[in-house]
Amino acid sequence: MDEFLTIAQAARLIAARTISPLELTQHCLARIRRLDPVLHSFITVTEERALSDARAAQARQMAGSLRGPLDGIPIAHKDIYCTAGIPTTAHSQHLRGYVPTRDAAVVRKLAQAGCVLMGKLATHEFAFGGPAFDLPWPPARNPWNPEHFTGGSSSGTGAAVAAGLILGGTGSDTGGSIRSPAALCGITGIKPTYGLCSRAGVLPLAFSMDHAGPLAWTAEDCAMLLFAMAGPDEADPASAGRAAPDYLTALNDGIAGMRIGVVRHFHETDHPASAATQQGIAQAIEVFHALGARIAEVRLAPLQDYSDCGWLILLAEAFAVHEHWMQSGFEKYCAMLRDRVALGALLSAADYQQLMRRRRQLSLATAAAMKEVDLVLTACQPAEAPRIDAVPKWGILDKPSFTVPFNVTGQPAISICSGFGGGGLPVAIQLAGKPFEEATLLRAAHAFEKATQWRSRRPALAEAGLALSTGAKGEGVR
Amino acid sequence: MARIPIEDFTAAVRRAGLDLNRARITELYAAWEKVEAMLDRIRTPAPPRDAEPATIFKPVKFS
Repeated sequence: MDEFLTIAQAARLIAARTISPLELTQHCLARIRRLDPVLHSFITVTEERALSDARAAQARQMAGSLRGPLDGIPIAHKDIYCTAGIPTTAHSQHLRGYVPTRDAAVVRKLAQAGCVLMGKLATHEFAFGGPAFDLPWPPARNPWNPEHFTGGSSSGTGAAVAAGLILGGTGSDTGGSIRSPAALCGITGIKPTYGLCSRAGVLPLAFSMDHAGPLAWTAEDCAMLLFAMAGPDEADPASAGRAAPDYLTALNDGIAGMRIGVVRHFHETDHPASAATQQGIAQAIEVFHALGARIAEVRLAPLQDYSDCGWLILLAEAFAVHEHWMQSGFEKYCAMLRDRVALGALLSAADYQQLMRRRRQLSLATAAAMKEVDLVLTACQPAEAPRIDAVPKWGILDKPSFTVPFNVTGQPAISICSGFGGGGLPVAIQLAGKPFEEATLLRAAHAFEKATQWRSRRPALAEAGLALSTGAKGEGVR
Repeated sequence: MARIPIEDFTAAVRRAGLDLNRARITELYAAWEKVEAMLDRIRTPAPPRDAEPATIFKPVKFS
C-alpha cells in the first residue's frame, strides 16, 4: 500500500476492492504507533473501535453495499466533539474522565457515512488554551518539524492528517482554529458558513462564532467530508437549516471567469506577512489568473477592526461558558486559557452590545465590498510555524489575525498550502467566499492544488520514520 | 499602563468572582491595557444610536 493515500484515492481503491478498509485501518494504526510518540496528536486511540468499524465496512465492501466514498475511511475527531462511550477531555484536567453518553451530531453523521473512528485528537484546552505544557497531555507537534507549533486549536487534527496517521478529521474554528493548523501543517482546512454544520455535542468556546468543519490533505477530501458533515439540525440553535449540495459535482469544472479579489492591504500593510507567505500569494494569483480567473483588488475594513471585534466577542462569550470553573477551579486550567479568558470577565454588557453592533457593520461592509467578486484571497497566517515554545500568551492582542474576519462575518473560508518558507515549514493562502458558497471555494482550492506541486510533498519525518527521540505520552492506546 | 487604576481593576476581578494572587492580577492588568485600546477602537466612531446588534433576538425561532 502507498504510504500516503488521500480520501479520494482510498475511496477509489476500496470501491475497486484493491484494498480493504481493514488493511487501511491497520496501516494507519501502525503509523500512529510509530509516529505519535513524537507528534502527540492523539489523546485517545480507539483501536478496538477502529478495527470493529473497519470490519463492518469491509463486510459492506464485500457485499457490494458500500455507503459511499467515506465508507472505510479512517478519521478522528478533535477532542471537543462528544463521543458516546469514549472519553472527551477538551484536553483539560476539568474533563479528565468525562465519558459522554451521546455522539455529537457530526460524529454521528460521519459514522453513518461509514468512517472508521481512530480516536480523539489533541486540541488547545477547550479550543483556546494552547500550546500548553501545564496540562495532563502534551501539545501536538508539527510533523514538518516537531520543535515547531502546529497552529491551533485543532492541533492534533492538523498534525495527524499531515503525518498520514488519519486521512481526515474534524476541527472547530472560532478565531481560526481549523485554518491555522491547516496552514501551519501544510494541509487543507475549511471553515464553512456559520450554521452549515451542527455544533450540537461539540463543546463550545464562543457560541456566536463557533464553527465545525473538516481538515484533510486536499480540498477534494474536504469536500467529501463537508458534504457528510453539513446539513440542518434542530439540536443546534444556530443551524442554518440548509442541506449541503454535493460539493464533488462541480469540483472539476474549473475556475474560468471566477472573480477573485485580493485583499492586499490585509497582508501587505495591516499585518505584513513574511516574504515566503507573500511569495505564495503572488504565485497563487498567477496560478488563478492562468486558470482563467479574473483578478481584482478588494478593499475591506482594516484587519485590526475585525480582530478587535472578534477577539473581544470570543473573550466575553468564553468567560460566560467557563464562569463557574473560572471561579471554582481556576488553577486546573492551563495558564494560557485561564489568563486569556479572565479578561473576558471584565467586559461589560455594554461592551458586548457595542461589539455586536460593530459586528453587524463589519458584516454589511464586507458583503458590499465583495459584491463584484466571488471570493477574496489573502494570507492565512503571517508566516511559517514558530517554535512551539515561542508562542506568546498575549499574541492575540498584539497583532491582528488573518482568520478572525471570517468568524466575525460567518463567511466560509479555506486554507490551502502555497509553498514553504526558509525554515522548511509550509505557508498558506486563505480564500473566503460568500455565505453558503462553499462549492465555489472548494472548486477554486481544488483547481489550485491540481495546478501546483504542493500536494506531492509530505513531511520528511512522516516519510522516513522518527527523527527525534520519543517522549512520554499522557495516555496509551486503548 | 491601563487607564483604570489597578485598585479598581483588582476590585473588578474580585467582583467577577475570580480569586487571583497579586502576580496574576499584575499580569492581567498589563494585558488589559491592550483590551482597553481594542474597546476604544470598537467604540470609535460611535455607531448610530439605532444600530442593531448582529445577534438581535428573533421570536420566530421560538414559535
